[in-house]
Amino acid sequence: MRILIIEDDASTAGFLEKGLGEAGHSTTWVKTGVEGLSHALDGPYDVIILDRMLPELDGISILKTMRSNKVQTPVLLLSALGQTDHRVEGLRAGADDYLTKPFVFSELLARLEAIMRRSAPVSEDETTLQVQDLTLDLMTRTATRGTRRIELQPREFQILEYLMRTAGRIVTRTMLLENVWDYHFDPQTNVIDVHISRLRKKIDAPGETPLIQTVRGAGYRMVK
Amino acid sequence: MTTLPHSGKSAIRRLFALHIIASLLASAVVLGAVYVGTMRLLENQTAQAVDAELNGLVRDYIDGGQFALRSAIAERSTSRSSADSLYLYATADGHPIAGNLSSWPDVPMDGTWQTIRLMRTDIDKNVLVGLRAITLPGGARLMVGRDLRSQREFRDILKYASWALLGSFLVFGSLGGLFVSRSILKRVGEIQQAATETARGDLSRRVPLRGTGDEFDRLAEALNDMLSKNETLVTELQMVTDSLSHDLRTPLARLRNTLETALANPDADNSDIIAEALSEADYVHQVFTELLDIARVEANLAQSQIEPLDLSKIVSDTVELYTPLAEEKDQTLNARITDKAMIEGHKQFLARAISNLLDNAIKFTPSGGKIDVSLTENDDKIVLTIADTGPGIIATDWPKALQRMGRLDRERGSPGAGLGLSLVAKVAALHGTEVQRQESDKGLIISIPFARFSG
Repeated sequence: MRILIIEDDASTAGFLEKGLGEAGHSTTWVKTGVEGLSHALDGPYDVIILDRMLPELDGISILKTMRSNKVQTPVLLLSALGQTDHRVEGLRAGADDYLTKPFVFSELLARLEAIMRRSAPVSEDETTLQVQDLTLDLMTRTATRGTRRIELQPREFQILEYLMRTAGRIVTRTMLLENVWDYHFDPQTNVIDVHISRLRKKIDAPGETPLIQTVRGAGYRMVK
Repeated sequence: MTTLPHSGKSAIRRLFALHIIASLLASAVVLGAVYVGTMRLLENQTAQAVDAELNGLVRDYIDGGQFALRSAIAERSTSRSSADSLYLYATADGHPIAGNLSSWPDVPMDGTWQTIRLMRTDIDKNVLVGLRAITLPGGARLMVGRDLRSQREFRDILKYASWALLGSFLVFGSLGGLFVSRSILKRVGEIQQAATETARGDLSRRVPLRGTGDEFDRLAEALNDMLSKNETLVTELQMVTDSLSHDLRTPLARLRNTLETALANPDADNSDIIAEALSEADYVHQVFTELLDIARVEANLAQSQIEPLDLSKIVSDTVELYTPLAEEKDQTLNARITDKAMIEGHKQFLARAISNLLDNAIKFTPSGGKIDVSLTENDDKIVLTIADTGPGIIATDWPKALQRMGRLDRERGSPGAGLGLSLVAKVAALHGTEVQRQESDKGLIISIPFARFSG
């Protein structure tokens, strides 16, 4: 992916460029809000990482200008402490997702990839999700693996649906809590892990290919 | 020892000095005007009296000639009431004919008003005299005058009185000013000293109150509130830095050791070591995130996101989130939740706080234990209660448990940064309520009463 980084702090930007480069993305870094805006309006970028607090022009203004100019490039907003960290305000201004500093790199990467996937056109009338021999019927709210019918609690169904929609990508525990429960904080202890391991017991029966993988230090991934 | 601000510049003193100088000038002007006016009035009256007499005498002379004038003058100069009246009737060359002056003074004889000093033989005094002298038809001289001594005495009295007035004004005004400014400066000095000592690091310093309830007391109270808030913040900051260095040093050292081990064996499969390092790093990160969150709640940055919401949904969501975790530990997690419990709240922080409470309950309750969550309504309150069968927290430890990084000894070595309850306390404060601990012999019972929102 071609990623534009609008960030005034050199060490954060360096950290991002290095990590994203290693993950196989090409990055462009600009330091000021004004430069950032001109890049964002003209540049061929797949996604933009935008810091909220910038010299000359703040992130929210850049976002609003972009969106009012019909530039729909997905934006991940970074926000630090010291300002009213209005996730809502950021999302209203047109951000696709948002992350609070300090962040863990794997979290950022997972979110970037999720954004990219979301911006890909989704067929509206999807009624089933399919991963290998696992099928999720969104109409009847049932799951089957091969010929085996899987009994799921409503919440387990939601977790599985989210994992299948993001198949092949890492999802962090925080992303799970956000997307399945709609709560935005770092879940304590291993509360999410317990939910996943229960679901995994139901999905991956002994002898079947494990579909839900644990990515150490990052989160989970549904195989493609 | 009174503490006066020891800078030589004092606004209050300068103001008092200015005030005194202005008042003195004003008084001096008024007194001067009175003095000049009075003296002029007296002089005019004297001159008019002398005129009247002179005219009378001239008429006597015209009507009755030399003889009539002489007897009139003799009569007048001997009458008691005219001790201060002077007369002299003299020949053309100045030899006295009648009157109470022994010789003709050196004055112009044109009838103008003159003031001169001359010797009064009758009382043997050199006095100031106001007089008019004329030449009578036929060449004789006539002079009528008034001894101005009493006028002068009056003038002196007026002068001395004025000076005394101005002097006492200066003395008492300055003394009063000094006294008032001294007491004001003393109180300002107390405030200044408290501030100076605070700045030097004595955070427990306060401004003394007089108990009068005056504006200085009110100022002192406001400053004391500020000083104690300041003290709390600094103390908390110190605690945070102490605990942070304590709590982060260990995992950071472990992280470093782990990475060093991996570096020492570059060819080995280090994925286990790296995973360990990652989880250490995650822990450090979590501590920071929690601290930042608490700071955010404290700084009231979340105030704007408070909205009417249904607390029962948040409680049942969190209970549902934690149920599997409790089951893992063989604990029973029961919930009795009234529906539609509307309050004004911050959805995310409430969920976070309730998660922290459940997290703690599960962490400290032994396996096989019980955790009861209830959300009940009574009167205009909606009360969240979480009771567990863990070891509980004794009353004396409670305040400490609510502090940032207030890890109790029982938790040393358990995971978590000791920020859980602290965040709960801050979130409760954000909602205008507090976390209450109920006495119980079975474990810990924590409850938070929320005000019901009624549209």
